[in-house]
Amino acid sequence: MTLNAKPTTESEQGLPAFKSRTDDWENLRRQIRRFRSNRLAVLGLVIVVFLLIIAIIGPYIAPHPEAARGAVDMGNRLQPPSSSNWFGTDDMGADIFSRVLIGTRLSLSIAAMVLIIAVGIGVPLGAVAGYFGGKLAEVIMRLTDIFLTVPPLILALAIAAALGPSIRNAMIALAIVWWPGFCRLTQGQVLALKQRTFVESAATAGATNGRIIFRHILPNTLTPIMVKISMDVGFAILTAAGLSFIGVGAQPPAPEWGAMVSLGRGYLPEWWWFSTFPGLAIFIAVFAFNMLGDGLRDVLDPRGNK
Amino acid sequence: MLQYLLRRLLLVVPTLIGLSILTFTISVIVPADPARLAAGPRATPEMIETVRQQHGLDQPVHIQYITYLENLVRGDWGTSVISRRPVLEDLQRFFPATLELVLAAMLIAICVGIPLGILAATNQNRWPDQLSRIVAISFVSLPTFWFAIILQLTVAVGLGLLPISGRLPAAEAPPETVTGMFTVDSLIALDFSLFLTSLKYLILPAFVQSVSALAIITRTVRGDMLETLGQDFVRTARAKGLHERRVVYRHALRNAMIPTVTMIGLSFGFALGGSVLVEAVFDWPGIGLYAVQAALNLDFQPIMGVTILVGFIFMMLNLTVDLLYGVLDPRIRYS
Repeated sequence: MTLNAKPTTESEQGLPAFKSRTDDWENLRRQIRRFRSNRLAVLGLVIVVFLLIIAIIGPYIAPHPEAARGAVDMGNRLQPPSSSNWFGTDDMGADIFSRVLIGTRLSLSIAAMVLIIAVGIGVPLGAVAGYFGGKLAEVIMRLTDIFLTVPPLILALAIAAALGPSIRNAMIALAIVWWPGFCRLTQGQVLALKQRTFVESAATAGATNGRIIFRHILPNTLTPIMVKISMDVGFAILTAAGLSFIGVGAQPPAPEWGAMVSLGRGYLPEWWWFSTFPGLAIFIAVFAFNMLGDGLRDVLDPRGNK
Repeated sequence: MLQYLLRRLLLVVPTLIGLSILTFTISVIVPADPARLAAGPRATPEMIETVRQQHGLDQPVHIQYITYLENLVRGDWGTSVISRRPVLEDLQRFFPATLELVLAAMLIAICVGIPLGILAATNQNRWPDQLSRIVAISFVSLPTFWFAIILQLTVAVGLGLLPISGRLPAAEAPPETVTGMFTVDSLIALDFSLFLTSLKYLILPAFVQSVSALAIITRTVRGDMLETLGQDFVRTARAKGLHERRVVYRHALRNAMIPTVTMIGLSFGFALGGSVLVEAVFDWPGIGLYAVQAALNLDFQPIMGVTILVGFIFMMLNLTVDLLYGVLDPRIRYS
């Protein structure tokens, strides 16, 4: 590995770009510098890390862990915020602070599951449609269009209501609504990459379709897909909470933030803390992920920066 | 142009058929037996069987779908179990309220979002830009249902400035129906006090509904303005000695508006979907509240009706946006 090896670009030599490991490190360092200069993104990252830690240790540090399991303490019902119950107590006398803390894991894992399933369906379908084209692609893309004609919340509401209200069904509904976005993104990327010289030369060299897709094309679509995932996490948390708020997602006493806001609505305005704090948790989590996503997009995809 | 329009309109048909397959599939996967639901809780097995035959539910799935599609085309969108009215009639009744809410929200989003975006672009990386960035990210991150509750608590209950929910006080008779939008109808009837009353009821829900569209419009305008401001023709305009105001508003803005129009069209569609949550909190009697109540009562025909209606409007919005492109950018020719 020589330090002064000048990287040649594809266009200059008609060969795949040569990259040394030094360039990778240099590139990474530049990206980290760029990310660190975006103070909002750094703040987002700090809050996200904090939330992830809470999601892991929440049940162990909550002052009243029984609150998340639907424990009833009628003597302590609807108490305002105090030193023993920072966010007050709910209609069952449960500590809202503990429920919000423990609910972090639930809200984050719902969003994670939705995105994992959506990527798992959307990316392969998009890759197939983009690479092979023809009738199959036509079918896949028209299907995508149909799903994209209905605003996500309405379609998710319809599917979740049909499946029956539960966390699992809300996740399924959201994943069904979410995959077309990834499908369309991947299809566009693959279509563009297919015509690049390095893919054509791999095909000339006799690489199989599977090898071309997995070794040469998909790794190059990773950046836009990662950017979309990071931008979508917040929106997924928000939509899942919305479904639970309506009543077709998580059901009480599950410590889901949206469901808690919904329960507290019946106790307004006197018992204001009941809805306020769980909702604040949703806002902070979504805000953090959105700031992080915004910063990551700046770093990873400077051209898409609008 | 006319040919392009016709072709696009023809393309709407297969997408609508696809949409109907989607809603039909959703109603087929319902775990509950629709015949049992329709026959009522105390029906005997024979009665359920009769209902099944009457509704053609004993037919193979593809026959059932064709019947469903025929009914849709004929205007029979099923009957709501709760309201006991045909779904299409309910949709006609509730849609104007949603349209009023979404139009008012988009008006706020456009009137605030575009100037804010320009301000951010002309002050790139200075405090107005940073502030608009924070406002935009906060606004898209707000759970609208929670934000609605907070505003109800503070503005409506705490300060008593605006009503908490609904469209009009119970004692007030709505204006004579022309559009079904109370603010517009009261103006048509020249009833200004009724206009002010209905406007007061509209402000909070419309504001809550507007925030995410406002954020998206601000960011889009900022991005596009920055791009156009860096182009040669803007430099030429400046070199000619034109006033900065004229450069920004006459030269740059007009060109930056093209992608913004797409975003406005898209946000409009999303606002239609998002109105579900806002209507639920503010008891705003539109199709969103209608869909939520139907979903909670396992009343499926109304949800499917709302899905198809909103999908159709979404498609028409996309078409309108594409046509507007040609008006804003004469370089685009439709063929």
